[in-house]
Amino acid sequence: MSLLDKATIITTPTAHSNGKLHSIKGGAVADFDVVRGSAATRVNAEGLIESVAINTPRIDYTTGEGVILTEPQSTNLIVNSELNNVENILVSAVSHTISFYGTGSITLSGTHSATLVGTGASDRVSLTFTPTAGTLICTDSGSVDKKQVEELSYSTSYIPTSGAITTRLGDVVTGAGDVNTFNSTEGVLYAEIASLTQDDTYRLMGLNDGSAQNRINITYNNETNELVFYCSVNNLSEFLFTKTLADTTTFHKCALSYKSNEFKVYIDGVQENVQLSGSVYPANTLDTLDFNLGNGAFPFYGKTKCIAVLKEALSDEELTCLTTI
Amino acid sequence: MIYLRYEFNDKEQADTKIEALGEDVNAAFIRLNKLVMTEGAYDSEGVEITAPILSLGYAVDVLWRDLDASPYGWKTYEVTPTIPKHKLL
Repeated sequence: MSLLDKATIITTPTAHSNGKLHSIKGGAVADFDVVRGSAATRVNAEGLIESVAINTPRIDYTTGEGVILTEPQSTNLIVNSELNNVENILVSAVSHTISFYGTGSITLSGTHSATLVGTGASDRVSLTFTPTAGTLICTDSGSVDKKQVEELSYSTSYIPTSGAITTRLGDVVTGAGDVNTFNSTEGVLYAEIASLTQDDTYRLMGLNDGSAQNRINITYNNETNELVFYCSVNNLSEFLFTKTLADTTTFHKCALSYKSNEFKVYIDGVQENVQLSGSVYPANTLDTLDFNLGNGAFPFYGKTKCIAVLKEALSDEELTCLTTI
Repeated sequence: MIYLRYEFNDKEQADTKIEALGEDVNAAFIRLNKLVMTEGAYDSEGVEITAPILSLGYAVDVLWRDLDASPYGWKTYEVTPTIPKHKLL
C-alpha cells in the first residue's frame, strides 16, 4: 500500500470555496471550515494583490508558490493607505512594523525617528521598531503605495484603508474529518509548514477530540525557532519533543508517527526522535483536525503547503520518504 | 452576528469588561486605544504646529459572533459615530 493510499486526509493549497478549504483526499468530510469575519487580501498567482471575501481561504503566492495563508487579526493604523500625505498615529510602546511598496520613502518622527526607503514599485519594504507611547508622525516622500503600520513585530498581508483605520480579522481553520477519518490507535500527522515570523506565541495544528485533553500537535513554540511535537492522552503528556530549527520561517516537512509505545519524529528526511514508551488513545477518540489546540486556543498562523493524516504508523523508510525534500 | 463599537473610560476598564466575559465568548475584540479625531499639523521638519485632537475614551470594536446585541453590562458603553474612525476590511 502506498503512502497515498494510507492517507485519510491530504490538504494542499488548491481547491477552496466560501467557508471551505477543500482537501484533495478524504471526501467532503475532510474539508476544513474557514471563518474570518472580515475580508482580506492575498498575492495571487500573477503576483497582484487582490481582495478575498469574508470566510474565504487564502492561497497566497507572495513567494511564487501557493501556500495556505493563515494570519492573526491586525489593524492598519494608517487612515489612507494609498494617499501620499502626513499621518498621525497614536501608538503604544510596543513593537510596530511599517511597510509600503514604491521607490519613495516614509520618515517617522514624533515617538520614533527613522526613515524607510523603498526599493521598487513592486517591492515591499518594512521596518520593525518600538516607539515611545504617543503620537507617531509618518511623512511620505516620492512614490509610496500601500502603506501599512501594524502593532506587530512583522508585516502581514496588505490591509487597504480609505478614511479610517481598518482591521483584518484572524483566520480560523477547523473541523476536518470525523471519528471514522482517523485511527486513534496509530497513525501519522504530517505537515509542510513555515511560520510567519519567529515570534513568541504558541501556534498549533493537529488532531484532537474537540478538547485540549486528547490531542496530537505540531506546534511553533513561544521560544524562537522551536518546533514542538506533542501527544496528550486524558490531559497527560505521553510524548513531547522539541526541535530548535535554524529558521522556522522557511518550510519544513514534519511528521509525528504515533502508536502505543512508539513515537517517532522526522523533519526533512531526518529522524529527530524516537520514544519507545507511552500510551495512545482508545479507538474512536480522535475526531477532528484543526489549525489550533483543539479547543480553539492558540490558532496556527503560518504558511501551509500540505497537511495530511495517515491511518498507520509508518516505518523509518516510509517516514524518511514522506519528509524528504 | 453583530459588529458594535464601544468607548470605555480607559484601557483598564476595557480589559476588565473583556476578561469578565470569560474564555468561551465567541467574539473578536479590536482594542483601538484613543482615535485621532483631527489630524495635527506639522512643518517641513516634522515639528508639531498644531497637536492632533484625540477621542476622549478608550475605543474597542467587537464582532460578536453568537449575539445580535450587546451582552449584559456593555450597552452603556456602545457608541454609534457618524463617521467611524475604524472599520473592518
